[in-house]
Amino acid sequence: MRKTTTIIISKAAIFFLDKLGRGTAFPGKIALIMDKYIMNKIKIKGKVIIITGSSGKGSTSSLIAKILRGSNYSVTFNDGASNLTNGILTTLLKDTDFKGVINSDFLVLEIDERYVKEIAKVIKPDYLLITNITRDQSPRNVHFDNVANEIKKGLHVNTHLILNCDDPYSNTFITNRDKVTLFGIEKTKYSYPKKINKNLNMEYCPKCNNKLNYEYYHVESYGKFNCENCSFKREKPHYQINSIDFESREITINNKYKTCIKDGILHSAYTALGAFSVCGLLGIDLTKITNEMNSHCKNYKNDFIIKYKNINIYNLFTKNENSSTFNYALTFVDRIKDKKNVVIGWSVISRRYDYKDISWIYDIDFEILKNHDIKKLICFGPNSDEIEQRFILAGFDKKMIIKLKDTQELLKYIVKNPKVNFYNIVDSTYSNKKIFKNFSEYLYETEKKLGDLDD
Amino acid sequence: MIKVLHLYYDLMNLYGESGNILAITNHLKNKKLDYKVDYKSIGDKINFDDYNLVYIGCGTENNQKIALKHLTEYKEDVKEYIDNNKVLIATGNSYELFGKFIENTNGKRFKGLSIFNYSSKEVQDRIVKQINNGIKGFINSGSIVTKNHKPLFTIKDYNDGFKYKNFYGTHIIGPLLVLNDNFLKDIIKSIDL
Repeated sequence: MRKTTTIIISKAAIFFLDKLGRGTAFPGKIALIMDKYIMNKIKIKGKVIIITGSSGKGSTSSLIAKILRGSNYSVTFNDGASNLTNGILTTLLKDTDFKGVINSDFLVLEIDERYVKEIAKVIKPDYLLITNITRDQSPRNVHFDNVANEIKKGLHVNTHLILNCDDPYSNTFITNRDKVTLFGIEKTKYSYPKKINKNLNMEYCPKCNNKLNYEYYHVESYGKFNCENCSFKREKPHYQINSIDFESREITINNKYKTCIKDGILHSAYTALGAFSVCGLLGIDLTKITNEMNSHCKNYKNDFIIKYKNINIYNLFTKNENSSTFNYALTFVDRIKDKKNVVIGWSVISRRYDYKDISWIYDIDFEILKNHDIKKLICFGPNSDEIEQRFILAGFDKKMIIKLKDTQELLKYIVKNPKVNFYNIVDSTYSNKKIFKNFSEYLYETEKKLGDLDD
Repeated sequence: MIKVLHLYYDLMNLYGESGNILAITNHLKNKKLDYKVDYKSIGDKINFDDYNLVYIGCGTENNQKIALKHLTEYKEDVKEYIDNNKVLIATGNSYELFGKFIENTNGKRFKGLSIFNYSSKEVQDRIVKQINNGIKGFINSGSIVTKNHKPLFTIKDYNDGFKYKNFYGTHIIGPLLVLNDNFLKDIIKSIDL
């Protein structure tokens, strides 16, 4: 009786909050107050797929859900909802019937890496994809070992793991497990022969502490590695990208399946490959997966490249307190040999807490830019001084650096100085989100405002 | 020439600690002092006599134990280096290496270099603190240090780190020397050329 009442009231809350366009976690919170065991009482008939990791879990899970739905399966998915307990419970309650049964063929859950153990205690994952485990939000996550240990607590013996084999750190999850599917990127025209990033999560063999040897690197510790002292090595992937063309945004998987990626950042190639691997593992026809992914390409509006007057403006989105996302963006910048302005900035370090730790900007390898013809380095936002200092310590002349207050000032600067291409390495969340998602409109609006002032 | 050693650069580098080496070299460059930086780690042989300044950053609990095992081989050399007034800066959990022991959360003790009398104990609840009182920095520590009577910093009611001759140990993580120019200047001044 309590279960049914909780479900009815939660569904009513979801209905009304949906109408208001808000409240993805609140109904779950109410449900837990009414019945703290409500999650245990929900029966899930379909297969459970959990996607977690430091970054990319939202876009990967979204693509998986899209492919499954396109293949005529019913899917329950916490799309756009909170990825913590309350949000996940809201998703479950929304799709459950009044008896507490979810009849969907698949339950796809994007879960915060620190909450996997809590959710998995109740909802046993049949499949668990770890996108990556990187340096991320250290005041909350401490470090990558801590995150890995937390995820391990959520693993069941029969959970099938899907891992990125290019990352030696992810390979440590393989030990003593039967059900593992690996994905990775082979050597491509963009691979680096030598290490390009300084501070890596793993440089030594986790089995014998011998320094790992690399044939090539993609970024950070991702690449083809082996230990010359023991058997630890990059295992052969079940699903692999054999070639990438970032110009056309096309990847080829398993030498046959050609599909698109969202933008020109390597991270997006891993997102596509991770989703492809999960769906392939679920038995979806690989051609069907490819077709579904290709049908999604038209939704990628190429809005990360904006043509403005005679220049290109590249908006490369990053996640604060996660140096890896910046290092990914810098490999993009590194591929294009033009004269350029590089912009770094954000509106707030974190929305979760008040700590203002900026240690992580020293894990970003801005030194890569020293090989480029840089006109100006532009920093904006509340930590402009710290970013300026980081650039100076990377070896750049202070005269090259411009500090701006916020994105409005950045828009004005671009409008007034459309001489060379801009590479905006920016956090697109919080107050910046609206601007960077509609950057062209904001540019022309700023141009108009400045024109009106001149008049 | 000032010879700098970034020790365990590829193992104890958890929170942007390489920024400290950039701060040191930038300072030396501005002072027009000749310098050289070596990068060494667990696969290398180390001659501490060769250096005027040694820096070690923060690592995971696991990497800290790997570094400890390696550094223990050089216990006498490190002791002599510190006794000879040479500069050693250890940030984050690396300063725990020089104490009596490090006790993990399971109660297992790892013997430290025992150069100093303090010891440390890893705890479940981490200490996360923004420091902005005289010294600027951030603490994100999974351990507490006990029997420590010579703190490097006294921050309000909180004592942090350890100072002995030119040994500077602190739980503050990350680019401490970037954020604290005066502290860096004092350290560089203490180098005996």
